[in-house]
Amino acid sequence: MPRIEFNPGACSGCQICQQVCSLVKMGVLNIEKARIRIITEFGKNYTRHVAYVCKQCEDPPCVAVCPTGALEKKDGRIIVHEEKCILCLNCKNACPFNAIFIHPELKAPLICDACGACTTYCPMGALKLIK
Amino acid sequence: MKWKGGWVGKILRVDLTEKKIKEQKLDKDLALNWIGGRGFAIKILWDELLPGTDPLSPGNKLIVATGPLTGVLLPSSGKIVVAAKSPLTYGYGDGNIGSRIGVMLKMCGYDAVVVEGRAEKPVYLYITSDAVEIKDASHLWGKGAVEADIILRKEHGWDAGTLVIGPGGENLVRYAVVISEFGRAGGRPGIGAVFGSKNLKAIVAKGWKDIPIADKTELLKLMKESIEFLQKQPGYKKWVAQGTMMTVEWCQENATLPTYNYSEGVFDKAYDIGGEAMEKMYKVVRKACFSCPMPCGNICKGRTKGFETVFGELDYENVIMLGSNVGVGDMSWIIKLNYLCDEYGIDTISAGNVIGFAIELYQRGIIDKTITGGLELRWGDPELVAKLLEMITYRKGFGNLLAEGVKRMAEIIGGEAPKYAMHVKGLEVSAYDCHYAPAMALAYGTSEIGAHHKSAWVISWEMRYGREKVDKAKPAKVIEFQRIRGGMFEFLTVCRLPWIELGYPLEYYPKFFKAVTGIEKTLEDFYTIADRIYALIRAFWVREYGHWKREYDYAPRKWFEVPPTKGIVAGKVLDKKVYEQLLDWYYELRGWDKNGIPTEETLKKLGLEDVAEKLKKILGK
Repeated sequence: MPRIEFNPGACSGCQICQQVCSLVKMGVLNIEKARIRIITEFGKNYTRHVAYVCKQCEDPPCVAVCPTGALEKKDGRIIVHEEKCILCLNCKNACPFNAIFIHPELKAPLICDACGACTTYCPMGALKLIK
Repeated sequence: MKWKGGWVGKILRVDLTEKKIKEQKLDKDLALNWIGGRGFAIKILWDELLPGTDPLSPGNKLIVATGPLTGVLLPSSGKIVVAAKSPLTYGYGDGNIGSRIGVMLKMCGYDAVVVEGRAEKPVYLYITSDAVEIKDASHLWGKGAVEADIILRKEHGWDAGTLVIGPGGENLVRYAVVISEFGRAGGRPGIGAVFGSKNLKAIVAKGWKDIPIADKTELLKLMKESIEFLQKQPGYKKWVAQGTMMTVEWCQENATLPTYNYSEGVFDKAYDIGGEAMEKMYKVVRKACFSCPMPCGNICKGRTKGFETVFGELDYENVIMLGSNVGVGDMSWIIKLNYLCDEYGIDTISAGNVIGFAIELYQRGIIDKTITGGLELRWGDPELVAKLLEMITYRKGFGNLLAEGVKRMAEIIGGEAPKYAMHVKGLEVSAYDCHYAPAMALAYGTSEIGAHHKSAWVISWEMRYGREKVDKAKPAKVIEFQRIRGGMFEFLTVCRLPWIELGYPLEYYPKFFKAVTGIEKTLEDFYTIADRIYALIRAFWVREYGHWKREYDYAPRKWFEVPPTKGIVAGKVLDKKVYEQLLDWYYELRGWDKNGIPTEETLKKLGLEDVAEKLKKILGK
């Protein structure tokens, strides 16, 4: 199953992946329109980089809860049919990995389709496309 | 004007006294002639600040500015400039910070934010793509900068951009800085105190709008090339492993490592606190600024007993100023001292310099326990340093004097004290000892904000070129670096390190500029803009001081008068005649007069006729 694999030990939190994703998939520069999110969390005694990106579940709960058939699993990837989406957010709430994103200007959720563009720019080798 | 890309087109204006928020269209001339970042900051301060304004009064203007390339897909674009009239130097003050607030502000729709006035009670500014709010910060006031940042992120999301001050800024320590994302600091000349004077605890930005780009295909192509170029460089791997920390060993080998308040250029425990030691023993996480393919952030963890949960983000300057400059050679302690400075929101460089100065004065018998409040000041005592940092932050006892910075301390203490005060124009010298590095000393002397290395970091070039040499190439290199680093990188508001550390070609910047903004500019155009910016910065200093003297561009006295005793620099001091010669050449090459004031002709060439007129009036010509 194609998916993006993340190595937290290699990541630096630069968010180049998010920029590339928004440019390649949406045609705009906007990290909030990316289908992958890197968050750098810190406390007084830790710092960690966390990636949120679709794991392309075998039996995806997001597809199961979609009331309109806007989400579909096809050739191992989640496909979003924007015209069918009613933005009920069931999918977002059902995702156990917080990997579905909503943007106020967009009519459908953002879900990674494992195109792999981000992995070709990741300078740290923290992202890999598993085919 | 409709912007094709880069600039997002608006400046946010906030008056905290009147609780007024308004938006202003980005003026075309401001954008094209001053570009962004430092350029915006000085132009706004020059045009709008009432001359002679007290930096800690509501009248001072705080400027947070991005540049057209900030937050864009190019190497290391995650920068922001914070600026104001400095409460430390009373001249132009600014700093840049590697913080996500740059990209977030632009996604909110703002190229810059200008804050004036003073809130009645502690507040913070919360900016989003569709609203700006002045919010109550009473729950944050008094809290450490890191602690407050975490609270704000829990409330507004971990992806928000933040600028936060600690108690140092609240208590108007004159070298209080602005902190972001745990260990990122900026605004050495007291920009944190300007926040504090306005009762402004933080600025938080969270945006979701597109950043317009003229040519997206070209942008993706250029970035791909750039990442490949950087990764191919022989120094890449070590840079990512150690970042600026590798400078510790380099400075030790060249005897330029500030030790015991710049008394020596070598430190017997340098290798315990160097890049190698850090990489092998202390570094636990690498951390990049936004869009940086060559991350230099070193998140480190203490190792010795009792320090297992002590974390700090290390780079060269803070390690040396809180290490060798105060005689401390224990890395676990340095991590803690560095963390304390970040939490207190005070500048690690100035704090280490101030404490080193105090210890030297005590050791020389210039001050005693009647002044220190009974404290015995010794080299190499990290517990004492920690205690002094706290006393500075809360202006307790002797700390109240230390919070003023070395220039004021020296004036208050009097006698021989000024001879050991390591500053230029009131800003404490950063971590390069220049007893035997005349070009670097000139760089400190002529830096735009006082003794900072940001602009003309020529020391590495000088060691290769010949530290003993005295010729015009030295001032020429200082000016070249001021144009590139203090000019271009500060107004495009992106990081200089890809170029200076890994040889990333400067020619990429006009290319990115074209791809992002759609506008053609050459490097020469950028350098002219850089000269315009520096000329206006210098004019601002003259206006605020009401006069100007050549001696304000002098390096600190100690480098001329008190030689080090160890290593290859033993017995060396800067030669006053040589320095004067370098300064003459510097002024000549810049088109400034013998007192360091841009001539009328120079100002006119830079399109600053009105500034020339004003300077004439001020100087009574």
